[in-house]
Amino acid sequence: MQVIIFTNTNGGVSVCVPTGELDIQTVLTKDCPSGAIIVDDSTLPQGTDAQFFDSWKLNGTTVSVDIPTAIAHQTKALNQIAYTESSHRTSKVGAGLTNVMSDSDWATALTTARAAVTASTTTAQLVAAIAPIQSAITGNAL
Amino acid sequence: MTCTINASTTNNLQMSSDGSGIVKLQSNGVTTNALAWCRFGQSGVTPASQYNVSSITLISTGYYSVSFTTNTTDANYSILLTNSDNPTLARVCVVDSSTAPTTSGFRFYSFASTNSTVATVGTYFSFVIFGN
Repeated sequence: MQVIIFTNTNGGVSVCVPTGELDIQTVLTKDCPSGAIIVDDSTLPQGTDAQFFDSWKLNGTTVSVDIPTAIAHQTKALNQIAYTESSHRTSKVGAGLTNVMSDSDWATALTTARAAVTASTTTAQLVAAIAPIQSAITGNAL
Repeated sequence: MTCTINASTTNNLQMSSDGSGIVKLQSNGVTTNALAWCRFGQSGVTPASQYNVSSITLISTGYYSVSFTTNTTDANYSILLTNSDNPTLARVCVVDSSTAPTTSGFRFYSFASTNSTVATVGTYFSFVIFGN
């Protein structure tokens, strides 16, 4: 399927999908900024690279993940998880929830995850880096 | 071709048309039917079905732009917007007022109901536009 891509005001890549009511050339000129190009969506990043949409960069007609940007986004995501979980661990126990990790294990896991995110060179590594932290949260149960 | 059918208390039934391809059913000059509608999913934002929508743009994660095929008469339209997902992952949609709706379209964010600072996706979105 053909889509239209362009570099947005944040420096990332936006993807415009025509509905078919108008031909794609008309959509290109009507709905997209100057410099937008038509590509086949099969050429866009796939797999774990697709999960880092906000880290995509457009160079010419090629879209790829900018790893430093992806690391920054994953660090932000990790901090968001850490803030929410760390501030609620005691109250969770009080509410009858069971924390999968002990407080000390949780602190260690956070440190390990932060180091793994920083050291990542691929999006697969970035995903794997915070997986233990996500498991610790989703494993909490009544 | 647009066909406007207006039920008027003073002129009874009136009909007119232009070239926009839109159907308007009016009561005393006020349009009562939807000017656009669409349902689309998070994957590729490809609409499953739509009317008067030329494109959906994924600007960034959880931030979308909708473009109308035929512009509305003014930007004072009503937007009914929903985001569907697993009940344990409640989502909310917010029309972006920092980039106000225009006659050519509007932008909106999707958030988790528990976190309004990080835009996120849902399973699918639906919207309906009423206006003149």
